[in-house]
Amino acid sequence: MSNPRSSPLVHSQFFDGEAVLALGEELHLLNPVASLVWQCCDGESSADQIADDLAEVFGAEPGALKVDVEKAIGEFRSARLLVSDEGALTAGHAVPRVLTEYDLDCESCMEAEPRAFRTVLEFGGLLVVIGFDTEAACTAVEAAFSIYIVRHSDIPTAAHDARPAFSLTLATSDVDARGMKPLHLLYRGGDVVVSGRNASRVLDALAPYLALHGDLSGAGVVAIPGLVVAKAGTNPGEPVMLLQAAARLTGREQRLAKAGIMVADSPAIWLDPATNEVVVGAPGVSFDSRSLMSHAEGYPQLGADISLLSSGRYPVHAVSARGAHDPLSALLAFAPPSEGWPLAERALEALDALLESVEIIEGDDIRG
Amino acid sequence: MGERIRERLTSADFAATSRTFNLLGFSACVRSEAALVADLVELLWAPLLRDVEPEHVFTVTQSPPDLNGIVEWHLHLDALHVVSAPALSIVVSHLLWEANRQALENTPGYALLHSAAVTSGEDAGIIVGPQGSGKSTLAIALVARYGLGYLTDEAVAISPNGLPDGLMVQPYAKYISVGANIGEILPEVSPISDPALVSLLGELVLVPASSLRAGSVSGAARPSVVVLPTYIPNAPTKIEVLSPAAAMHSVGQHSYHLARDTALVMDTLAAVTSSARCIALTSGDLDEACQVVLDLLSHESSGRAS
Repeated sequence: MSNPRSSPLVHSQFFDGEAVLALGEELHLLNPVASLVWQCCDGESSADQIADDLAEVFGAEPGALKVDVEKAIGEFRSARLLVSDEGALTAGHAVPRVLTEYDLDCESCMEAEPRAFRTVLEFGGLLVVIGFDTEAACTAVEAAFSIYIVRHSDIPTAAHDARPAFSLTLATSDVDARGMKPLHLLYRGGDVVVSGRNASRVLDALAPYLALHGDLSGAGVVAIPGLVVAKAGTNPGEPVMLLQAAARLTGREQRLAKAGIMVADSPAIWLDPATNEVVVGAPGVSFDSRSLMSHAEGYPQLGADISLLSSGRYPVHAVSARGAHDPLSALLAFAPPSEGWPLAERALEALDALLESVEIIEGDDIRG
Repeated sequence: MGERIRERLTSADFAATSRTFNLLGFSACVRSEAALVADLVELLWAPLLRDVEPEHVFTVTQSPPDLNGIVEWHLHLDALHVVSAPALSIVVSHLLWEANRQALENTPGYALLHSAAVTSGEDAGIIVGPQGSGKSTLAIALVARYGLGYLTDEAVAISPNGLPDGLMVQPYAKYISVGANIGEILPEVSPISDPALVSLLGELVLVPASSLRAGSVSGAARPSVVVLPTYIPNAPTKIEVLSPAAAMHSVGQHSYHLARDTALVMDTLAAVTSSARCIALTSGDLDEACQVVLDLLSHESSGRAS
């Protein structure tokens, strides 16, 4: 075992004999002996040498303090107060955080069967765990997002143990075990965020959901909570309307479909502040959709799906929200959350500027 | 907040706008479509009101009824969305929580502890402990029953040692959240009872600092005593003197930004626990516990005078 070396991340405060160490949110109280041992953990001396040095200071027999010193060093190690020589060199290296902000502790999540297959992608300093029911789905997604895959040997324990931030459930039959018509589903945490009758829709929706955690700034967009809608037959370059995201898309689908309205499958409106256009797709995410589409062909078509806007840029002609009748009320209706939303301040500024040039329609019934 | 958004927020018509409240390093006002909300926050933060331009603006707005006739209330901070709920009381509770959170997040340069503090002359007694330890009840009793000054029930902000005004506990005299049975323990204390305001508070039982005792809110004071109370029903009153290191270890567990401001928090708490008298206090009797704190503060005060 290497010589004990104190971690540079530890802050030490010494008193008369005793010491208090701080590492992150944890504090450790050291008695006078442990405090002396701690001060000797400079990476130059072994535990035996430290025990002998301290014995000499106290006028004790050599080896008399061996047990106490080894015990203290063992406790330092288990509290991560020491680093290895390699650790000392990489102490400042940031380890990506595991995306767990979604509600993964809900009852249905806890009861759900763990996904048999999973992959870990790294997006914008976040590790995103994605779960699948089949190996083929996992392979298809790994092929599509190959540049983001974290090698198995590089996956930290926290990501190994984490429940998936996103999960895909693709129906293999047009009738489930209860005799009901199933849907293909994309989960974020415990919530279904996209449900489709065509597997390609659900597979294709993964990229926009990942984009929310990627480099939006580099892609030149901000994220606004809400939904992009347009009349049937709209193509890139033609005007669209923004709806307040008061309800999940899935709850509105039938109504939207009956009204002949197209939507963007996306967790947010991607707005380019430079042009006041919305971007449909997955800005900032590089992926190869061919493997996803090819994989989707193996699943049943479960009926007619809602019409989706194709990827591209669209000018905005109007925004609509309940109670929105002027720029301030519209701004508040579409405002990003104050916590946990990427580039929230910049998104608010961009939205404010957009509201100067578009029609504001009060109400949330898009058929009107 | 951009200037144009500030202009939108401040020029729009609202039923009421509160005065600016300064919560440590965070200043804001509330603009509300329900006039009572502004009245409530002015009452709750009365000692912290200032006639200055706020840096931030909370807005409380209401959506028109949906197809089912249900209205929704919304809370925004500088136009960013905080919460929406069908009941105004839920939005109000988020407003109070969010304002306090912002105060704790936006007060750089201080060591912040989740604790109460009272004063006797120039001396502050910091009362630190987890929820249920009795720290709030002890602080309220010391102010309302025994005439000590009130600094805070929520966050002790200590300026770092070495500055001209260093190692001083800053006042943060926000309202005090108490249990519904506070009248049985401390009949001197008067939670808000106006039915209109109570309806905004839902389950919360709140005591404005200004109603603890006339003139009880005090200015910054030097931390001379640190008490870690533990309330145990019917337990005899016992004190244990803590070493500076042991006190710092216990007190530091209640600091707000230990990981973020490690050096500032550690250096400041080391200076406090090295210079203050630090004790662990176990008691089942409120008046006996109060007497311990009073004696300690009195001893510090007389020691300095001599």
